[in-house]
Amino acid sequence: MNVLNKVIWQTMKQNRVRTIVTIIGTVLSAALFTAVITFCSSAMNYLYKTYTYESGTAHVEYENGTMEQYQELAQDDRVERLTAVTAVGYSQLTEKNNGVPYLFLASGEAEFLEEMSVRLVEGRMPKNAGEVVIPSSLFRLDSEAYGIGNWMELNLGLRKTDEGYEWNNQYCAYDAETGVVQNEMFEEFSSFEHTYRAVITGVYDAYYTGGAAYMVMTCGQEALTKAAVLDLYVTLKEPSMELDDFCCEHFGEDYRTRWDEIRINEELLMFEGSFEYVNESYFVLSLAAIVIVLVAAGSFLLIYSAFSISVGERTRQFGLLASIGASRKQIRRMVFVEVLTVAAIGIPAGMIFGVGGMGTALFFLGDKFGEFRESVYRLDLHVNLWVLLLAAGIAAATILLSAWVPAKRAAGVSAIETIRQTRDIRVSRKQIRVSWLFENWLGMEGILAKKYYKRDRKKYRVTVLSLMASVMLVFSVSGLTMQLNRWLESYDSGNVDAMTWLDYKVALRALDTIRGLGSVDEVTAGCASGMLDIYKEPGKVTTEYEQSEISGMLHINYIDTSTYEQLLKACGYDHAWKQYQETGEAMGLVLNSENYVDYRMDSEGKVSRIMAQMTWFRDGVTELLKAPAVETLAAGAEEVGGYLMKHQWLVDESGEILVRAFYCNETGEMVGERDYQPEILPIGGLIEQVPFGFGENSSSDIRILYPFSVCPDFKIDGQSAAVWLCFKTQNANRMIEDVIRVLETSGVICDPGDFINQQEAEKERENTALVIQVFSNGFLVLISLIAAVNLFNTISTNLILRRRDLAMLTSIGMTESQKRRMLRSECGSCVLRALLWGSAAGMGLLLLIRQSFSLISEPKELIPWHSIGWLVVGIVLIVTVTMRYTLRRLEREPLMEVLRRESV
Amino acid sequence: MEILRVENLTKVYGKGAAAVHALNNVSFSVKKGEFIAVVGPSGSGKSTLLHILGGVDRPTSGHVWMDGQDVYAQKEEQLAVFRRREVGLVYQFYNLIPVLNVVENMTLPVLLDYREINENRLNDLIATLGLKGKENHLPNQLSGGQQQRVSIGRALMNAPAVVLADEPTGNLDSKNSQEIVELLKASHKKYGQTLIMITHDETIALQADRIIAIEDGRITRDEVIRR
Repeated sequence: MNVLNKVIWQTMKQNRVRTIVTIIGTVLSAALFTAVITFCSSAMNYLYKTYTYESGTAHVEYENGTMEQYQELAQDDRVERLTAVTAVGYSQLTEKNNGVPYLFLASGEAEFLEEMSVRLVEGRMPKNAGEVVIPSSLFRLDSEAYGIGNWMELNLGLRKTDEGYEWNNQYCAYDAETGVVQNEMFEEFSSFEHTYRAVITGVYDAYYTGGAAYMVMTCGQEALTKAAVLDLYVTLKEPSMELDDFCCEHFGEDYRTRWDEIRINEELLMFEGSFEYVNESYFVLSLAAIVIVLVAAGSFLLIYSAFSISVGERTRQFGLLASIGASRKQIRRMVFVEVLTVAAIGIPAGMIFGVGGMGTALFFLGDKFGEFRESVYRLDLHVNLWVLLLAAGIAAATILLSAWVPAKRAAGVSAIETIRQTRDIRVSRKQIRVSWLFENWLGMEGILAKKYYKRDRKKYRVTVLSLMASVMLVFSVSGLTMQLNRWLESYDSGNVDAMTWLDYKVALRALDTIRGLGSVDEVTAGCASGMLDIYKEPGKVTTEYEQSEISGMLHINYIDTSTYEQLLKACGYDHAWKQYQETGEAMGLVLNSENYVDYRMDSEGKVSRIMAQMTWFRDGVTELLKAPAVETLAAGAEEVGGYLMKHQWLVDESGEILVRAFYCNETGEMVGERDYQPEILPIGGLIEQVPFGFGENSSSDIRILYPFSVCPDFKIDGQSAAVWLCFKTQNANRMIEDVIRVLETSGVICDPGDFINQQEAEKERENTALVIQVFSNGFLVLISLIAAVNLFNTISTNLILRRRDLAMLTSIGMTESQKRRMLRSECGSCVLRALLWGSAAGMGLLLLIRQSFSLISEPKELIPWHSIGWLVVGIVLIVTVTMRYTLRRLEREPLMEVLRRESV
Repeated sequence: MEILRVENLTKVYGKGAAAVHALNNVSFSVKKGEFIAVVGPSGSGKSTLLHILGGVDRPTSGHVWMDGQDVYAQKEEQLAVFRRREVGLVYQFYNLIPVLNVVENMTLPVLLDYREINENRLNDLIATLGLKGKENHLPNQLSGGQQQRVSIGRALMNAPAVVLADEPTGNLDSKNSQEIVELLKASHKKYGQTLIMITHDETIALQADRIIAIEDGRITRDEVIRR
């Protein structure tokens, strides 16, 4: 055994507590590194699985391929998998179609069906061109007609525009009532090329249900060979290395600009770990980078201070070895042997804890990641050799780097200097003034402490710095958690448990039945349509509104009659309800106050988010002045021979209120103006309470509510109106099922995906909050432990290093209580400094965090007082325990021994 | 008049077979104002004896009576007060506090006692010890001889009845050594203090009133050479 190694190991054994504490620190930091990296690897794996489940594993998708190109690609060694699919044709669904008027038949290779995002829920995949799989949405539409084993007969053709362009599987407008495609841009099928017959072998889970057609899939080479155009899907063996060359070679150098026919699956590449495709907005990796830097900083400080103190403690040992001929290199090596010994024990142990800890956390929380990305998978632990090597590498690099400076310092120790002990303490010669207050308050011991601190500042710097870093870490992590939680809490769904959009006729037909369902507590239907320009008439509007920049646009909303009745009665406008019943004349109800989120820009262009509250009209207002309809104003345009440009309110000399319309010609030149009399808009009343379903956080709109019955023709901007239904319920899932059944009887097929389930979303938000809390608190606890170990290490070794001074002070008559008072003052001054500087820096970080959250939520508090309280208590506790422990340990050593041994 | 009496002093380090008797049943007494040189080979127990006399190390058995008071019957806190008031210790390696300057190091025992500094005594000591102009120097700015003077100053600052010096010249050249001995002798005379000094240097030992020789923890010779 190398004698120097023996010296090192013996020393480590003698300083057992310090060695153990340093190893614990290493274990903690290695555990944190491993946990963070394992989490990233697991998250990437989860995202990869989720993504490929939804979108397949192809790196390149080429839409305008040919059979020749297919064969050429198949010859390329770089290709791992190649599949092709082609459109066979469309067929019209004439009977039940639920807003999707076509069937689309695609034919691919058998591999295509397996590798792409076609997930069977029932039956099996087709094996030849005579078999098909259908989407679950089609199956639900008519489970009898589309049952497994049934035959399908399709008249296939192409969808073309007037100009002869083929249409893709895109959006088309259609009328729910008649089931007829209304968009006149289509020319309907003029010829059906052939009839296709196949048996249904399976039902797949269609991830995407929108579009103009249900996609039915079959397989077989024949269709591919016959097809003029193929969609080619290429998976490469080494995408990160070969993708660019491959694409240039096969698709031309301009392939990146031809995004309409060639798509590079960058998201997939990113999840596979090709980092050049990492999207900057992608948070997992950036968050991981921040966390790793924080952990690295904590670990660096821990190990640096541990070794720097350990080296300082053994300056004499190194000097002695130097005096008997040890070279600088040998001494440097000694420090590294110590580092490596610590690392060899600490890193593997830390990695076991890290993987184990993350595994346990994911075991319990893995299925709660739904909010981040809807997935059929849970987030499971995913570790491989590379992940472990990366974690070990980062931990080892941090440890070696932090031991570098102490090792260099040890090697620089000269024999005679150490033996004479002149470098033991590098004191500054500065005069130190002690204030009267200090002298009187802390006494002799305080003065001594201050002199130690001031004249030997370097030694305290490590302690103060590492403490400061801990304070900053605790500040920023708890601040971040606090703001995240506040953000999650601030989400307000306006008491709505679920909502959906429906065609107005369907909605109104089904509304009463829905209202009668046992699972529905409350339901409202509503839609928004058009705006009226209202004059801000002094005397009628509040001063606050008059002075605001908010325009006088009144948004018209229609609600179902029953909700309208409830509102009128709740506000005491029974007479208005009576009048409505008798005459059918409905008065609008104005929502007179609004709490809304406003984004304001200051002169420097900085946007800030504020919660604003506004009351629009004064009490007792029954009439408002509105500008004539645009059609009326535009009528004047013909007279002046131009176009309506704008209109504005004005008061003429006689005090009359007018609307002046301005007209311009085609070049935008003003050609004339005309004055109109404003119209009177009678209102039924002002209501303060926002009706259920309107949400509480909305825009700065003035809203007027009418019952549906007075809506002109249920067309909004020429299009058939869709209304929203908002539900209150105890059990949203059951209620949605009930509502789907009711709608089915009205001939409308929908699935739970057509509903916004706020209860479910709320649960997911709670899950997210839980996940964030567990992970951030776990991180906080580990970082705090590192900081605690660090503090223990620095303070205890610092004290042990001064055992000769302390012994000397004892020998000239310093009592134990005086000694404790002195050390308390010293530690207190370190802690106070670290707290002050750390808090100042931490406040900066908190401000930044708050700033970044200010645009998405209402950040009220800045300082996480709770955590800071714990931080202070924790620090005081650790410092006290460390001091007690060290002093007791020093007391055990005979004074004379110390004086004598330390003098040699 | 007797100022110090040592009765059956025994100090054992370690236990069982590994036990080492640093002091073995040592007894002697010292008169007020006496200058005693303690001599003996390395490891004979001289320093242990001195530290026990100074209240720094506790004996395994036996008693030390200082001015009629049983030193080790006191509690730890009282012992600390005893150390700063009754004895002055001078070490071979000076043992100064590196962050305190000359004056601060010298006045430390007084300050620890929460008493006012006797400025006259301080100035007198600084002048006597030849430290004028060095008052604000830190230990690492002083030579070995100067550092030892500061350590003597610290030992004398409280005007203790007994000064204990553990090879105060062991680390110094002959010129500095003689100067330090002269200083100790001068203060011993001037303040009427009792001085017990460990030394390896025969010429220094011969300047004492009495020589006690120790070997293997026992007194082998106790001889008054000057009255």
